[in-house]
Amino acid sequence: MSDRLVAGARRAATWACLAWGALSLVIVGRAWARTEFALAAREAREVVAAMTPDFRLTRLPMRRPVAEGRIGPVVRQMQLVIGREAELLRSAEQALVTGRGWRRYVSVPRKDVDQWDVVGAVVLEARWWRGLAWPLAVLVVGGLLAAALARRGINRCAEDAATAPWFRTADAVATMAVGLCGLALLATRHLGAAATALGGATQGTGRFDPLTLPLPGIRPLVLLLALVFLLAAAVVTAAGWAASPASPRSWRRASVTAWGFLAPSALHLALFTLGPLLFTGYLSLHRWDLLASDRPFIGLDNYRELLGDPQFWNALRNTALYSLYVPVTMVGALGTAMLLNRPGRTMRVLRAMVFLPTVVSYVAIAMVWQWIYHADYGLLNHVLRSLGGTGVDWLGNPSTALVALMIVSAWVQLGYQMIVYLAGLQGIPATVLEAATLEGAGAWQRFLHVTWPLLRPVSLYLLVTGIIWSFQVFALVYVMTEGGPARATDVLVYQIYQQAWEFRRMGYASALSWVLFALLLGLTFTQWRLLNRQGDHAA
Amino acid sequence: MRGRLWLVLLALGCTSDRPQTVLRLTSWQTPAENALDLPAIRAFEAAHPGVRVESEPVSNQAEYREKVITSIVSGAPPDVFLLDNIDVPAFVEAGVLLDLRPFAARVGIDLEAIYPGVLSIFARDEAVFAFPKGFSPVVYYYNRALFDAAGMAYPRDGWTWEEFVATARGLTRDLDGDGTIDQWGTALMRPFYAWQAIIWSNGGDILDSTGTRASGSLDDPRTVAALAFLTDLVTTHRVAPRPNAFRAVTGNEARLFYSGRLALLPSGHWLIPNIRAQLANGRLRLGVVSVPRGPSGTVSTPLFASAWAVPRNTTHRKLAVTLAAYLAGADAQRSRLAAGLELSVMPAVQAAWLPRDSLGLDAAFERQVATGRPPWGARIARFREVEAQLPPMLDEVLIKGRSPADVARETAIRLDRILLR
Repeated sequence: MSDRLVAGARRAATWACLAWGALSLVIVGRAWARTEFALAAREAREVVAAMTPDFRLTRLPMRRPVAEGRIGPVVRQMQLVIGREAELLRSAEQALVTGRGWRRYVSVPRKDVDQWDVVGAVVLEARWWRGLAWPLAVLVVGGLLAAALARRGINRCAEDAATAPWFRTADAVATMAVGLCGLALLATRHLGAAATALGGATQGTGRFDPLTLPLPGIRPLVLLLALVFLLAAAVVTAAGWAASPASPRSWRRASVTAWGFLAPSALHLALFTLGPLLFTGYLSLHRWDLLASDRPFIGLDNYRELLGDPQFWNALRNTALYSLYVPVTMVGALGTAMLLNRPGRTMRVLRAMVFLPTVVSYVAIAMVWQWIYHADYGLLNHVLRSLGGTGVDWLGNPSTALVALMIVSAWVQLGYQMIVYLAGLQGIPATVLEAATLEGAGAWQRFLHVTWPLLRPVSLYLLVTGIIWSFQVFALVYVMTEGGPARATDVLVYQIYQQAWEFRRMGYASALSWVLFALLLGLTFTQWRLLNRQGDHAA
Repeated sequence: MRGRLWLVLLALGCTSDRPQTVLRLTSWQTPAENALDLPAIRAFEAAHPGVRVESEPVSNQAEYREKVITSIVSGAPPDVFLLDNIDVPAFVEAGVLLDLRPFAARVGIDLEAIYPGVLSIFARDEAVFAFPKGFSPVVYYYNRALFDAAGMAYPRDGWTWEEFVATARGLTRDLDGDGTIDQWGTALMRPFYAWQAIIWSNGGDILDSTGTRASGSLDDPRTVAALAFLTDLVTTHRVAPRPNAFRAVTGNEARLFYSGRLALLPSGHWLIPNIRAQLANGRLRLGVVSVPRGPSGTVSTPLFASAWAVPRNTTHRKLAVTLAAYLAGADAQRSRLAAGLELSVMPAVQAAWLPRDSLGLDAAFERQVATGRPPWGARIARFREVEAQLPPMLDEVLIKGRSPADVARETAIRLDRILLR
């Protein structure tokens, strides 16, 4: 009974997997085809854009005439489009995809000089399967490059590095060949723009002229070169693997596995961190108006302007002053952590309460604190006045505005720092403290000579990461003060935002970002050095 | 169960694959303001079967601008978007807007029927880059109840600075005698739009006529006198509270005004939708008067307008321009007038509305139009950079106690450098 049940379940699972796989295939296939049709439509629009008002083609380099035998289907397709012209006209701007199976046609409307009314159409046969060339190419090149890199890594690790000279040469050639191959493939952009083929135009209603245009083919010479490189790279890489003297199988496998695991995060870092970082460097050397079309190279002018701008120095000073909240908060956080470092439900609740601000949105916090700081109706001034003091215009006064922001940040960060300190405190062995007590140390002495020294790495970590964060302050300033009053709360990231998005000066904002980056890099470097020294001490 | 499955499959099979064109429309308007556009959108959709308008509003104007710029630059623009007057120069210079003049007649927009002063904000030479939606001059609102309680006469258009100060003084009061002022005569707001008119109305300006230089204008004695007049309201005359430097509280002046603790507030027509209900039921009785004129000038006020624009790289040109025309047409203007959002850009529509204006404020607004000028933002592309330097001038005088002349001279030099860049 149970065996039959298991067998049945297995069968069901197999079918489910098959169905799942089939469904995935269909979805991916459809998505793929859609992309390809979009590419074909783009291609068709390019053809349209290259036409004169009387339907002559002006500038379409690298295109071959349609083979005689291919005109028939296109003409038939165009007749179909003419038949559907009403629909085409109604959905004026859209590309129509018609046909079945391998034979698909993409039609885009052709408009008058004003781009106003549809006066015809261009029909392309979409060879959508050709689009597979791109991912295939990327896979092959990526695979080869990974293999070459992995092998180099193995060779470097190998103790027996005495390799034949021919092998070292082959090694270099293989890596170079793969790189060149990638470049060549990039040059043959048209390999990917596969959706192309035959074309035609309908002109007015009921008339059509077969166009002897189309289509961007693959540039044969470039393709040939790419293929030669690819082949060479494959051969040399394979030879390198075969001849590699010091590549035990397990190493090979380990190396490939390591690369495999690294690849996603490395790719992500390269695409979304390193890429933009380098791009801002490039931007910072240009006058880069977000909207303008000319973006001239201006060398270091942005940096020069920045260094000569008193408002930059003011923002830098404010940012540095602002970061002073970090050590102050740390003192509070350590005190709180020691206070709450006891078992019991009350303690747990209190810890959660102190930690709470850390998880709330900065904008919401800013709104609430704005009310607290309000000169006339604010909670803080109300308390001050009821204690017999006078109210302070916290955010309206240049000498208190920055301090007011620092207080908010301290309030937010206190919980986080407390949690880190708590972890540190709980990592201190009870035996050490016990020993100190037995030696006759009082509470203060225990803190000074045991707890504090053992917490130093934690403190250092908190200090440096805290300062790095504090240099990136933005939301509080943006919501609460907009850099005012009298620029008393103008900070670096707010300036970057303002220059980039309000003034559209992406180049200058990028220069500012690089300065901030350099500052933070310096701080991180200091942290690294200090932590290392700390490690040495511990050792 | 099986029957139901077939039904689902049938429904899936029946979904029409008839191509549907989607037009993307975006603006920074509030949900209530967007609702005013719905009749125009529905009418457009009814007239264009197979076309659907997708509204993508972004209520925060700064974020809205980021979104519009990036979408245009990246080649995926909205088909129609709301253009603020301050963005006209940059967008026009970058060549991203479609000249709508050749198509205006085809889509039923009569450009001659629009206030020339408003149209000029969105026009360059012969080209018209957007169909104006609505506009407003900057005026002073006054609370009639406070005037009545003080036994003072309502202000009249063309009043002078002296009259303004005297009025504000009469309306600034410590009602409960605790030594703090509970009712303010007026307010000084930091944003430049709120005090541009004061400078103009004394014959001064912030830039020269070409918009390329601030020295000679911003430090001109007439401009400096206007700055002194503004800051004196807080320091010497004590008829206005200290302008709060921070964002959420800039609405403070308006709140004070709504609650009857502020008598004179500079603002535009956009204030009205918030308080329409209170105005209609008489809980708030307001009047509208021109900005006061200085000793060496005549009344002059900026006209702030927005308009529906079409990016040049939209793929749906005809449909987009037609939609913009529906949104800017007379019907849409009428529905916005009725909601009290702004003045109509078409004098004929405005005139037909005035007899029906139950709040009785639009006639006073209408009178200010003749004194209106396009604001600086509508004229030079770098105005945002210029504008960012202006409110801190007030801080320097009010907080640091520096002389307006010094601050103006210093800012002028800085602006010259910015404009030279």
